[in-house]
Amino acid sequence: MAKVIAVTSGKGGVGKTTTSAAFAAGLAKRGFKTVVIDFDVGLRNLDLIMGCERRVVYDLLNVIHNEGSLNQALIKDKRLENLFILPASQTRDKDALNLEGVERVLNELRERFDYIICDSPAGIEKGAIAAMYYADEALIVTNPEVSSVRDSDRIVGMLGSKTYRAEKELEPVKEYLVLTRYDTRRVDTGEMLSAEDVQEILAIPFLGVIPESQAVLEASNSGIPVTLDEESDAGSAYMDVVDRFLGEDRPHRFMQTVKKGFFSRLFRG
Amino acid sequence: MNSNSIFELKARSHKVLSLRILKGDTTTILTHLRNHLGEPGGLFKDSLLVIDLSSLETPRNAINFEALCGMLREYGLIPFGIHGGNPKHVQDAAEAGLQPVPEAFVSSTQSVAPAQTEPQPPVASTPAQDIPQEVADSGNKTVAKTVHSGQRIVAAGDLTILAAVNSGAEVIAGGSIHIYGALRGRALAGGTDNTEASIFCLDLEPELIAVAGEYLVNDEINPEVFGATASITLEGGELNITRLGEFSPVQG
Ligand SMILES: Nc1ncnc2c1ncn2[C@@H]1O[C@H](COP(=O)(O)OP(=O)(O)OP(=O)(O)O)[C@@H](O)[C@H]1O
Ligand SMILES: [Mg+2]
Repeated sequence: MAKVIAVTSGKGGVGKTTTSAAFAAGLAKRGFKTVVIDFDVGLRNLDLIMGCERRVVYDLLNVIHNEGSLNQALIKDKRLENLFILPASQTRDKDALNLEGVERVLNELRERFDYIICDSPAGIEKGAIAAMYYADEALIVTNPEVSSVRDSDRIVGMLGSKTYRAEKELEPVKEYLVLTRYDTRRVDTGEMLSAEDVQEILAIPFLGVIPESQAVLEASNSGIPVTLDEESDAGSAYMDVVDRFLGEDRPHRFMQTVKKGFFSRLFRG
Repeated sequence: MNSNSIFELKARSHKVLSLRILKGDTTTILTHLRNHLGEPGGLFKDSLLVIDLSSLETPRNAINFEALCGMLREYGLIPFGIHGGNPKHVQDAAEAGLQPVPEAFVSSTQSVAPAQTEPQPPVASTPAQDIPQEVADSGNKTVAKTVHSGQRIVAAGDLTILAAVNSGAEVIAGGSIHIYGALRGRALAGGTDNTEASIFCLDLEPELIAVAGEYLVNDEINPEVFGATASITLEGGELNITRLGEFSPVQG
């Protein structure tokens, strides 16, 4: 049975879309048939990060409003056999997202995919609720700073009360923490919270940190999910996250400051 | 019409107030409340307030809680709970951020509003029938999971939390509150008048603590007890924080 996974955060710009693309591509690489849906109606950019923006004809809202079929709207990734994208509409507003429609689309997708990844917009309003409402599991994307942690905490609370699973008193949505844009040097100087601090506050299972990395920018500029650049720090960190999610044991990386060598210390003073 | 036949503003301590609405639609209530309270301002600076609907003579009238709370906030009041009311009231109130609270939070002592109208005897309080089951019949309550930002847990009796209460979360009890974790949010024990109630937590970093309506906010708390395992009791009308020790959580 397919699993619906919401990628959500409350706060904007923390890396939800980057994570959705990387995580979906990672699952596809591991052989799971995966679709990633952009719920950020009006500000779509998942298609850019996935490099398929020129192939968008129909979108999620067309399918919800029966203006196009799911087959017409699903875009097949050119690199990975198992990966599909369902883009958001650039021209409509969030009110066009109704829960009944979302449920119908998800049910149709559940029959064809192993994993359905829902890239949530920022905030705690309608769009974010639509993206999390039918979730079975959720990746809480958080940056190691107080405001992001606070917003994530709010989202964790909402997953426990404002979702289908909560309202129907089913087994609760399984939540996982993904800590992105982690910069060990700024953690050491106390400018940022440590992974331990964030885990202690949110009290949900931890999938790992993604380091602050130039590779993310490069990947998104060229329309490639960063997990396809497995040589990169961020790409390999995301693959670890995918593998831990799938139940593999992976030692945590990118959480210790790299000790500078003698020469760099010498030249940097 | 005399304002006092429309609502009564009461306080037990001078901290948690209750606004008992007796009848009328929102517009009438707002107009009379404004007449009664005069110009907005810091009249009730930071006073917590419960809206009491248990004596409503017009139970079918819907109440616009957003508008009511908006106006109360103009006066420096912090509406946080309702008592009584029909299921529709409870639902509308929840949307405006008000949670059903037990009777312990409703004051039955004299009116504290500016005395431009003659005091009225308090209306006998009838037990509310429509409070959600969860609150109505629970004496004590135990919660095993972290209370997250935006969540609010209410118990008529004692409340035990087997995890942390995070910043932005609120735990409220008619009796004592025991937190086996960090208190980073708000904890209000003892309703408005249970002065025997206390708060206990493993790591005190609260936004607000209150016992029987007496409260302290974060920056009023002595830095020496901040972050300590502590108990909070009411002694001689003042909050007394006792440092019990030090606690460090086990990393999981
Ligand atoms: N690990 C990282 N290292 C460096 N930059 C990153 C990292 N993760 C994300 N970014 C950058 O942060 C910005 C925001 O990322 P992204 O669009 O994924 O966030 P979002 O949470 O989806 O934002 P929104 O709330 O607007 O939807 C982008 O410019 C992205 O390239
Ligand atoms: Mg995004």
